[in-house]
This record gives sequence, C-alpha cells and structure tokens, in this order.
Amino acid sequence: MKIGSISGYEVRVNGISMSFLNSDSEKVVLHDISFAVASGEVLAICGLSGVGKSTLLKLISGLSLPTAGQVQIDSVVVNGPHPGLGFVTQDYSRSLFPWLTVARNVALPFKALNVSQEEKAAKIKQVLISVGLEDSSHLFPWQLSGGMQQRVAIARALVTQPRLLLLDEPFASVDAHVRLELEDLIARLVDEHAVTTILVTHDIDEAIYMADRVITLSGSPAGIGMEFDVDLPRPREQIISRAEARFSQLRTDLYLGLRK
Amino acid sequence: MLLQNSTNPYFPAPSEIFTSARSTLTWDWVSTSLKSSLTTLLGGYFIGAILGILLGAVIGSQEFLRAVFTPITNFIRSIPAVAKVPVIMALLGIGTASRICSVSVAVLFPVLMVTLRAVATTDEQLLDNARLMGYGTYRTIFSVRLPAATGQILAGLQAAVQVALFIMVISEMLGSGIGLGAFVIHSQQTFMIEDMWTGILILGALGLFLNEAFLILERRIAPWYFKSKEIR
Repeated sequence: MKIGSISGYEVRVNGISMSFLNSDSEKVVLHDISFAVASGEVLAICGLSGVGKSTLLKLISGLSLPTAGQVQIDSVVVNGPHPGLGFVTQDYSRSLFPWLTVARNVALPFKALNVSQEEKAAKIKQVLISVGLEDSSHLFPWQLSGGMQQRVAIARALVTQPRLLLLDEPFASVDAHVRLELEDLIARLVDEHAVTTILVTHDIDEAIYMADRVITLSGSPAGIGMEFDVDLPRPREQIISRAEARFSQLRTDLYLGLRK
Repeated sequence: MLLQNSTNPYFPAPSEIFTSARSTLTWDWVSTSLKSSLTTLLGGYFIGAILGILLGAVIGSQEFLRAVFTPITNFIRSIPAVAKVPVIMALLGIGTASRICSVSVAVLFPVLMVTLRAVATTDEQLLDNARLMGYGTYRTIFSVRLPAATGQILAGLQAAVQVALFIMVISEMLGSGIGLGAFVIHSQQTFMIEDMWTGILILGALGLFLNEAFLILERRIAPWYFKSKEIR
C-alpha cells in the first residue's frame, strides 16, 4: 500500500569535504565524497565508529554545511535545514521532548507548517497506528520502553510524510529483539511511504538487510570505500533473507571491505 | 529549654515572647506589617523571576547577546544585593515601589544567570530537531530551550526565595517604617525585646512556609520533570 502520491527526493552528493577547526589545527573528516540516491531508494552508509557517518548525514540534511562541494536535493542546492526531511537518531532520549506526551511529540513537526487541525489530528492518529502506539498517545516518553520511544521518534519523523528519511544508527540503543522488530517496521513504512531513505549504520547485517544499495566510508579523512547493490528480493524477512547464500556472500564482502 | 527561666533581657523566655506575641498580634498589626511584607516579597519575587527568566532565555540563546551582556550582568551581579537597596531608595524613595524593586533586582540576577547558562547549553540534538522542523528563533527559545532548562531554572527560583526574604527585611529596616523588618528593628531600638523576637520568629515561619509552598508549586508547574527524574 502506497500512501500519498508524492515521490521521494533524489539526492546528489557532489564532491563534499568537511573539516573541523580544532583549536588551531584543522581536522579533515570527510574528503571528496560523491554519490547519488535515486527517488525511493534505500541507501545504507556503512562504516566503523567515528569514521564520519553522522557528519555526512548532517551535511545531507543541511544541519551543517560542507567546507567544499555541495549536496543537491531534487536539483536544489542544500544551504540550510531542508524541508521535507524526517530524521531519526540513535539517542531517542535526547530527541524526544520529555515535557510533552507521545501525541504532542508527534505533533511537533506541524508547528511550523500550515495544516488544519483536522488534518493534523488524522495524520497523527494514522502514524501512531502504523507504529503500533495508538494506545500510548497520552503517555510521556519516559513512561515508555526504549523500543517504544524509538517508535515515537519514527512516528514523528514520518508524520508530515517526508520525502527523504535520514536514519542515524536508529536501532543502536535498543536490545536485539526490538532491533529486528524496528528494522521490519522501518522497512514496511519506507515501502508504504515510497520515501527515499539513507541509513547510517556500523552494523553490516543491518545494512544488507535494509538497503537496496550499500556504500562504505573508510579511511582518515574518510572517503567512499566500496559501493554495491543488494540484489536480495523484497519483501525481505528476518529469518529467510538472512539465511540466503547471497546474504552471507554480501555480508562477507562488506566485512572484508570495511577491514581494508 | 535553656531559655525557660531566662532573665537576660536580650534572650527572653519563650513564654514571654508568646505573651507579647498575643498582645501585639492584633488584626491591625497583621494587616499592616504582614500584608506590606508579603506585597514586597511576592510582588518583587514574581517580577524579578519573570524578568530573569525572560532576559536569561533571550540573552542565553543568542551568542552575540551573551558576549555583549555577560560583562555588564557580571558587574551588576557582583554588587551585593544589599548594597543596591540604598541606590534604589535614592531613585524611587522609600515607598512600596522601591521595596518591590529592591526585591526584584535581587531575585532577577540569580534567576537570570541560571536561566542564561541553562538555555545556552541546550542539548544540540534537541536544537537540531527544532531546526529540521523549521522552528524560528522565538519558537526555539520558548518551545525547546526554556522547557529543556526546567530543572536548573527551578533550582535557581528556589534559591531566590531566600534572597527575596532577606532583601525584603533589609529594605524594610532601611527607613520604611512598615513591614516585618521595620517592626523588628523598631522593637529592638525601643527595647521591646519580646516584640523583636516575635517578629524574628514570624519571619522564620514565613521563610519556612515559603520554601514549602515553593516545593508544592514547582511540582504543579512541571509535574513531568519530577516524575521523569523520579524525584519524590
């Protein structure tokens, strides 16, 4: 089932570099990175911790600007926080507002938009149902388990029907079982919303399970290491897909690629 | 116990203070001194607290305002609150307005400094979220930075209750002739030691009451904060 008729953004990253000033020395984190993400595609960016994956995602969102090169979203150069984005980070406890209930947290992205009360209420209800939180809308985030809090964050990222979903290690703070559940939830929602998705993760299994295509970041300053398509059929299923010979082949390739 | 049979004129027996309190605790006395004191205290406290929070929020959220105002606020803040009272009296006279103003100024600075620092150090991730959701400066201050600073602001507000009480007493002692502070200093100067003690004990009770009232109120204002932190 597809929701809405709008299509996902097309993203182009053209030769971006990023450096930070550290007292008086300049530290180059990313160097000359280029890639493209097609509308509706799910791209996983895989790399070891600290390589600069989150920095790259922030540059794509427009939260920070590259020192060289540019990011284009649907041919528009990104020069500040871009509209039509959904962003989910690892640390749900730092992204949800503890002073607001679940429903009001999910309603936050509407504050700066011009949407009627009825439409707003309908969309909040719909998205809470789709993440399975319709009975928790009156609770506060701190009354929920970690997995449920991350569902709230996912609902908030999707409620305005974004055209690009940016996921920064979204499953890294929940336990293994919940993690698989959330992976399938995201996979289903991404398919329903036909939203372009960029997933940053250090987990090679997750990258392969979730993505249509994987790129790796490695080196210091980081550049693109390898890039390959995940030619596993969709819809994927936790046990069956992961048991396929192709899955373990890709997994081995990716593992070795990251070690290089 | 120690004072039960005291004959020292400066430390009368509690029973004598109580007897004296019954004679002085007339409706007139209560309605003038206590009402005046409470007006000074609560009026000054609320004005100072609201201004402190608003100024702290605005200055704390903007880097250039912080750079401009920090030296100024640090200087004014460094002048002891008591020393500012004569200045305010010189400007506004010795009426209610000047007493309220004295308390406000004394409350404003600690609240402003606490709010400023808390608002300036809002979690980057909350701010990133606000930017992605298209929040402007005003909405980010009042819907993100201020609520995120609740814990620190409440701590500042609680400390300011004692400051307010202190400055209320001082401003009344400095020539206003009205209020609990004036009553204490007047009793002392006219050697009505029992009355002096009555005033001091009432001030103590007032401080205790205000602190308790604050603890109840803060839990009403931000119940989520105490529940989320599991503070009882």
